[in-house]
Amino acid sequence: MSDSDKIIQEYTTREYEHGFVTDIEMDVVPPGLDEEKIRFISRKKNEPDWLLEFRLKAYRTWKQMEQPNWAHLDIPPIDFQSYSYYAEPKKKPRYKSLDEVDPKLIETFNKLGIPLEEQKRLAGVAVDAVFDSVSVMTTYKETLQELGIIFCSISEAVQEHPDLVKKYLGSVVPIHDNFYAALNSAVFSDGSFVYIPPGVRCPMELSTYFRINTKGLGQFERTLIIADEGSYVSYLEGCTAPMRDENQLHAAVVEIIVHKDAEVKYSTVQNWYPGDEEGKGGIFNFVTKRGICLGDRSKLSWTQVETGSAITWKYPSTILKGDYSQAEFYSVALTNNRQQADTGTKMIHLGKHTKSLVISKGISAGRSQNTYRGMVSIAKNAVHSRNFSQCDSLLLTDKCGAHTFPYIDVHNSSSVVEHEATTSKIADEQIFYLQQRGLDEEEAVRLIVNGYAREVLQQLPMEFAAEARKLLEISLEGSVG
Amino acid sequence: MKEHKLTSHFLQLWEQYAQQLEEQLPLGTLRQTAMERFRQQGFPHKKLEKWRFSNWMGIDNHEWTLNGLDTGTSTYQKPGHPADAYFINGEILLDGEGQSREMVQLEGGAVRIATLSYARAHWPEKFFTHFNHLNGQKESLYGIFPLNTMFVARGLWIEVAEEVELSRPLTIVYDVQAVPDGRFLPMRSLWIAGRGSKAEFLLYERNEPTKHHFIHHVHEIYMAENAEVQRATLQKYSGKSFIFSAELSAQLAESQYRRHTSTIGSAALRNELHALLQEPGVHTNLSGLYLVGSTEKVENQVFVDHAVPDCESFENFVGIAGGTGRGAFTGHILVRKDAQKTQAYQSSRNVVLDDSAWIRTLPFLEIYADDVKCSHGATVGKLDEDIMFYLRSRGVPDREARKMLLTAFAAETVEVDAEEVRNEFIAEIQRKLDELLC
Repeated sequence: MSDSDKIIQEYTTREYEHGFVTDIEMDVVPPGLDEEKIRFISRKKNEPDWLLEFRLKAYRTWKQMEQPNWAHLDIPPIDFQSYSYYAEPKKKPRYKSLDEVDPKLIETFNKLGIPLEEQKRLAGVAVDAVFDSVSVMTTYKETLQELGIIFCSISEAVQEHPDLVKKYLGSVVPIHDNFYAALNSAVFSDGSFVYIPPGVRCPMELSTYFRINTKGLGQFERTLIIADEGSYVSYLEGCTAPMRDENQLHAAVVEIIVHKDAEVKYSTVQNWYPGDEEGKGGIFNFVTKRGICLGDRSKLSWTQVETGSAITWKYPSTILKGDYSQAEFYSVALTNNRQQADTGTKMIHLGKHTKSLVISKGISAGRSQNTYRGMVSIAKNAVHSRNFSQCDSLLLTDKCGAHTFPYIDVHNSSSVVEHEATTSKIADEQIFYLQQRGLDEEEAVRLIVNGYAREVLQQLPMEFAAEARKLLEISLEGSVG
Repeated sequence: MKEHKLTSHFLQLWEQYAQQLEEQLPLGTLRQTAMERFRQQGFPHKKLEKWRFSNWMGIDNHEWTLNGLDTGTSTYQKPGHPADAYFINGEILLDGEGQSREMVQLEGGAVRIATLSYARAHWPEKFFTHFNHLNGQKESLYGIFPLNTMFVARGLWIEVAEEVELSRPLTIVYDVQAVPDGRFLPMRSLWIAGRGSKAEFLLYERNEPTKHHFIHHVHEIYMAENAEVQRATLQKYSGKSFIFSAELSAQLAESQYRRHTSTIGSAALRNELHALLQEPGVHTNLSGLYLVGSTEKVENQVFVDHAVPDCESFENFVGIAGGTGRGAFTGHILVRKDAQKTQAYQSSRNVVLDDSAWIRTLPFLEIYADDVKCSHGATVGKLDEDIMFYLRSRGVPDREARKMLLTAFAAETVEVDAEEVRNEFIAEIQRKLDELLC
């Protein structure tokens, strides 16, 4: 076995470090889905009638739909009736201060490096922590309230700001948008709600941390972010799950509304349990994320680092409706072992003089399949629009696959769209050059891949960039091809 | 799923003509198998991923009837364009003098151009080794492929003997003349390049400008070891006709294939290229140009299959869309597992001239081997404003300047060696540009 083979093997046998289970008593709804279960979730959350109607309508729509199969993914048959659709910690689920929180939960989030304690001011991040189906804690609420910023769980928002939720829920991702979005609309449990009032620049990063703990549970969070005129917010999202042999389902919906002159930066570090090296277990991550640049000169920027999940099906998209609006999409997707990822973005240009940028870096190792699928569509009225996309793929072994499926659609004569993509392995010359300068092979690869992903990583806020870099490094330790 | 109206229509035609077709060109079980496959797949509809953007709207408004059977042999004239062979209405083979023939020998017998029924009768073994070998592999993919095998009765056999180098490019004109509206014309051309042969072909495909036809032409192209083949085609079809043209090629070790097609309009035209790089050392170069105006739609579907190591492929496609025309390019490079040291490049460049025109480009890469160099670039844009300004400031009128730039943009892809033929292609392109720019 050559050195590089050894190193690859070492990497591929590395265990998932967030794979522990928190032993905490949970109230779990029996598996299966019907209208009664939906009424139950809605009752449990004390929801108004309109929301129950929304859920039921979504459920009926979902029942008419078929699971999509166009992605470059080999999805084993999923029995949607075998999952449980709601679970919450038995003890009082929502806490006013940290003293009331179950120490086991604090311990869980500490172990994950998520500061729930507000004294950790250095971190300077407001966190909403979602454990299975419920949000357990949102920090810094008061500080944010002074500025008129609403940052809370979506269940709380339904109770306290029903008008806002009613106005925007389903406005970007309608119920019938796709199979998984319809399912989410029917059973969504919790998630974050953010509202930034006009002219306010959110002074800290807002962050949500998702944790799936309970066995056999599907997690369906719903996030709604509204940036009113001239405001700014940077929002981060992170996720982990325990190691389990069976596949767990995660189908989230994120909706972002960006008004005139506002800017939203949305970052994700996705590290769900990817399954073991034979592809057993892991999270099925079927996510619909979409934002709309509603007003003129609005801006939405997506950054994602995808390292986890057995199967990823995710296309964070932007509708550029306002004139002169801008969107960006930066992505690093790393797949290993038997992971499969089909991810990318959609840029839908409707307004005049709109601009979008797509930078995607795929890294495939092991026997994984990594696909970029993106669409750039320029409507007839979106005159003088501009897009540039770059999608690079790096192959680290001869058993993995890297695929690029771009769709480009231009309907007017004044816009310019450019797309370029390359696929290759790390050149032997590059490794040799670095080895000559005293780096070992592993360090050389790490350096090259870090440089390769740098364009994306540097878009992440400081706290997340560090986490993402660490994640990539762990994943890269030894994955030399 | 709702079935395409044409599925049952063609099955009815089959009931009516199967026996007659078999008498003309005996294919044994091939036809029957194709019919079964067509029955399963149906006529392609827009729900199929690779047919989503193929706008063949209006094709089901016609009750297509099969050309050339009970209608009797059409009257024909020798087309004006000089050529080494003519194939008229998918039925009749003429030699360079305009005489009807079953076989034409060129280059001292090194090249044989024959009708399929002649080839079937005289070289049955060779015929069945090649006939439908490539198309058959595609028949389960979409119903459009078996449709050809079901109905084909006529076609051409073009064979280049081993180890010969042709002294000049050979010209073949595929002409459709005096065929009434509403006819379905299935054709098949088999190209066989012997080991170490070197040949260049110039092809002209056309029908009369106002006719409603549905022309379905499948080319099966076989290149043996070390063969070098160049094919350059000028497609000029009526703005009211529907055209499906498949070019299925398979290359053995060290062979080289260069292909160019300039497409000047048609109501709906789909060029489907499938290149199979079957043995190491193969070089494939595919280029295409499409100009669409008024309500025309042209689509190029290109699939390059790197099945083995050490092959190279290049794709270069250019589109210009004006009026309410639609142009589409779908490139798909597949690098199979173990096809190491592959080099594959794909480029799709397009210009949109009017706000009602539409360009769609889908440059796909699907890669399962790591030691490869693959890249693609796709652009959709407008003419460079700085260069326009430069030309205008030197007194070149707007329209002339645009034509000049577009000609240069288009001409770059026209990979034809012979100067006068290249000029002929470019003259056609410029004529079309005049129409697009008015």
